Amino acid sequence: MKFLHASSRLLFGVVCIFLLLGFLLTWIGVGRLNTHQEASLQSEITHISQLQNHALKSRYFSGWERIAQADELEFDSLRKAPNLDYVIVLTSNDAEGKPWYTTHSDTGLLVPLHSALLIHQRFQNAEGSIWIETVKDKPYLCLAKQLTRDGMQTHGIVVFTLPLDTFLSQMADDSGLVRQVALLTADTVLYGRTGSACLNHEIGFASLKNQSWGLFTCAEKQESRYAWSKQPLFGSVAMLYVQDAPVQPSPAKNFLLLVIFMLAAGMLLVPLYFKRKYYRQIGQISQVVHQIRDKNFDCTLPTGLTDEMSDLANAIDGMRQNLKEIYHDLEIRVIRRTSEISMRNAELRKTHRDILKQNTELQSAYDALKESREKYEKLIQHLENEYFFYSKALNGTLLFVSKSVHKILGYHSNDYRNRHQTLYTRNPLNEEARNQQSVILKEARPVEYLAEVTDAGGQEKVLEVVEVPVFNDDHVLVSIEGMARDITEKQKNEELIKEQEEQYRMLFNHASDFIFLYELNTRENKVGKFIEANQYTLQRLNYSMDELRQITPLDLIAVDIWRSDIQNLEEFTLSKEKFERIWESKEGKIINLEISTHVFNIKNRDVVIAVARDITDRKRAEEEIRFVNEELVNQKENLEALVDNLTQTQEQLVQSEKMAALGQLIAGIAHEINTPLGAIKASIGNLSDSLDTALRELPELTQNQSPLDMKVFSELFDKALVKKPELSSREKRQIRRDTSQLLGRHHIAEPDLLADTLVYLGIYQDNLETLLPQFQELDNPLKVVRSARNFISLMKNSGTINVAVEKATKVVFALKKYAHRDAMGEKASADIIDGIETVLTLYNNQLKQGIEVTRDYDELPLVNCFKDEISQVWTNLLQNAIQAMRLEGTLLISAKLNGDSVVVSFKDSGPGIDPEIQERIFEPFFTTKKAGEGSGLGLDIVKKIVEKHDGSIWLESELGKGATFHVKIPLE
Amino acid sequence: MDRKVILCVDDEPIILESLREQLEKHFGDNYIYETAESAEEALEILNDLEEEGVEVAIIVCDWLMPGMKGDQFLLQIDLKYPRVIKILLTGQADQESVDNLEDLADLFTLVAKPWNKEELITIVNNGLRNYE
Repeated sequence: MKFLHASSRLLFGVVCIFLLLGFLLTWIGVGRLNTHQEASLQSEITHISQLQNHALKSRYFSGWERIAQADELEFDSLRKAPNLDYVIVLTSNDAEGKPWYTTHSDTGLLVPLHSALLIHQRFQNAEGSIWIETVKDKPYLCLAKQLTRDGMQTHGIVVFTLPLDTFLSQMADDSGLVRQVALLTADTVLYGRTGSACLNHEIGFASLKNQSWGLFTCAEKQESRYAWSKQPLFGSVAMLYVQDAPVQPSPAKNFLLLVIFMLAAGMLLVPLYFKRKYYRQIGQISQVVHQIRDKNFDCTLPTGLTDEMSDLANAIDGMRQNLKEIYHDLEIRVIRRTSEISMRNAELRKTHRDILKQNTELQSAYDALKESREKYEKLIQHLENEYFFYSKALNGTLLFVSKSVHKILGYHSNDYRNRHQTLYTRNPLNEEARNQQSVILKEARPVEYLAEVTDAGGQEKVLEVVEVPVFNDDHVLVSIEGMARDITEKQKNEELIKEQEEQYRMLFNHASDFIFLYELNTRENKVGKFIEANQYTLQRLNYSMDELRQITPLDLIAVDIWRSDIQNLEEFTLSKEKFERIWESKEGKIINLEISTHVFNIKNRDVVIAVARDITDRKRAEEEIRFVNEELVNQKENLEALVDNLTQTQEQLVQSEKMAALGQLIAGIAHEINTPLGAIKASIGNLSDSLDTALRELPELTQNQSPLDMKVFSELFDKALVKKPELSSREKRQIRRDTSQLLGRHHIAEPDLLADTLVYLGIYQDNLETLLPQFQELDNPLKVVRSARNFISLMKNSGTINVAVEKATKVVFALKKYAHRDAMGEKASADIIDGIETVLTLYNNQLKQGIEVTRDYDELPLVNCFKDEISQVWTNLLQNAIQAMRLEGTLLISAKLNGDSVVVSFKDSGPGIDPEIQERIFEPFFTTKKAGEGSGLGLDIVKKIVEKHDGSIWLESELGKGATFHVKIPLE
Repeated sequence: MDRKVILCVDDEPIILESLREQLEKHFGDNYIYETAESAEEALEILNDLEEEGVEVAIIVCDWLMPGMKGDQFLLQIDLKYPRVIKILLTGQADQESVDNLEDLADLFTLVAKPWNKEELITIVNNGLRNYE
């Protein structure tokens, strides 16, 4: 009982503490809540203001004139009115930004209860502001809002001033919650409508609603503190504030809450209190109990325990003393009993030895028995896996059925014994079975038969049965012993094998390859006769199976001249790889076969199974390919021969090109030689004539001449012998004409003839002047002059001959140089310029017809080269140039030293070479000349010669600007 | 005296001189002997002579000359002075050229270099006979 008292005291204390704590917390919490509400209201108002500011931006003001001026007095009186709880003022700015006020009567604003106007502050901006004002020591919430309506000059500022606490209490309905507050906008102000805003929620609600003013109720939302909204219809703003009633602590409710809370806390704390109080004492008592358990009966109890605990301790101590006595008594009894047992034990041990001895003997006998029994059991067990055994009376009833029938047919032996006659199926097999069963009765001999029965699972099972007659001592049949086994699976397998065999046979017969078997005498290595062949083989060979069995595979071989029979034999007997054979069908058709064989042993006979494929088509294709190949080889040889021919032809062409060039050269040279020859021949004739005449005239000249004649004669002679500049025919003609006129002027006879001869003698102008007076004196000056001419003619013609001979010699010399062949076909030092000049000499007759040759030579060292070949290069280039220019134009030949090389250039003034063919002109057989005019080998030859000298040849040409061939030849 | 002209045309002075002398020696003062070193010059001379009223009886002309060739020149002369005796001297042995020239044998007489004096004189004489 003491325990209970203590706990209730504790509970009371705890409850008291929690009650106190609860009150404290509630107090603080409410206070905080109020403060918090105010702050959040303030922040929300700010928020509204911002939002509305935003909404009202960019509106404009006008039409303020229409609005009546505010009655400041009335405002004042309102302001001074007693018991002012809250005021709603509608106001706005005028055009100058001053605030405009209106009274509640102007606006139609109804101010229920106590109302007053508050004029407090002039707005500094058009957008409004918010502040808190104190009227009669009460804080007022003031909102200044600008309200606008587009296109209707509806503008204004609404100021709401509300004392907060009053507002809250006034607006609270019966339940203490503020439901609604309606505020009016400037729209009403402007038009002075009767519409009113009312803070009485019932009236205000209706009237505002009719005029499309926003009225917002939050009656259903008690948790809301206030709300606002914009009235979009007129673009003005209505605002609604709904304030939750302040949360007042409810004492009754709070007390209930506190009781619940404290009860919960007490429930938690009371066990804790008890635990802490009794824990130590229980621990001490528990220690004692543990000692007693460990047979320490002499332990002492703890002291200083509480009432309840000492009761418990005393009880335990009583138990401890009782246990101590019982334990002592038990020990004595155990010692006594132990000695009795040990005596008894000795007797028993002796008996045990005897028994063991007997046991060993028995054991060996038993082992022998067991062994033989196990053997039989194993045998039977083994047999019973497959067989069941039975004994049958002569009337057919079963006397005994081994248990293994269950394993085989699923029936228990008794069951089977009773039902076995009904289990036979209708399989015809069973007729023979019954037949056999009667045979054993009649003939008394063992029988074997098959029977089909239905097993326990309803499956049909085929049994193989062996029955043996049993005789008594008098050899009388008394019963039948039977043994049966299930061969259903075995039979099925046999059927399967049969089926598979059928499939293979199908395959064998329907294959479109030759498949056949033949014997093989391995010892003698001989091919035996056919054993079997598939349909395809028979069909293709056109033999029947019987016919085929009379012959060997070798007999089918067509006469093949390429192989000996021995090889055939070897392959048919030994070949492990595929081999090819040609067979002949019965009607003589040739079949190419590719055969593969495999030897295996069937019942001590070596048998070859062979698969052969008809490759006749393939063989034919191979033959064709071989034939085509041979054709190709032939063609290739033909082509090679053709190429050889072409090469020869080309060489011939090169030769003929050379000959053509030579022919042209010779033609030119002939002219070059014939011209001086012509001059020589004529001159010799002239010489001879002149000499004749001179000799004939000599006597007359010496005898019949006057002294004057002689003087003139010798003078003429002297003058004629003086060397004079060569004159062109044109000059000569002019001089002759002048001389003739001069002579005429001096009245000398035969001036024309005289002038002719004088010019021939080279006596004219100054030379003639001195002779003129003498000519005048002479009887016949012509005769004198002509006498002199005969002599001078000798001299002149001799000179002509000389010049002519020189000319001819030059040509011949050039020809000789040109035609010079290098003795050993080796390179020799040669003068490049000399070579070029030689060629120019030979082509003089062509060049002189209209080609002006300009030379630009460096002093060049001797070049190691094949002289005649290099000459051919110049010849070809010169010929090309002459032909390109069509014998008219200028040819610049330059030979320059360029490092280790000589660069010779032939620049002609011909039409130039088309860029399209520039790359091709060095190709053999390429020619721009008419067919037959050139072989097209000239430049090819030139290029080969230059390349033989490790040199290079290239072309510069532009259409219309001639062509330049450059040949670069290294000095060494 | 109404002498006619024998005109020799050749680019080689030695030919021109020896030919002229040869002809002069044979025909003496019966003719006036003129020489030209090219066909062009010959045409000039012919022009001059025509103005002077001097007739040209014979033209002996080289074939291969710079500028206008002998055959071309003689063809021109044939058109202008059909009566003139035209003799073409050629040193060219090129058979093709000769064949070409023979086609024109009706127009003028072909004489190969080196020529034979007697042959030349005979041809000229024959020509002169035809001419007169």
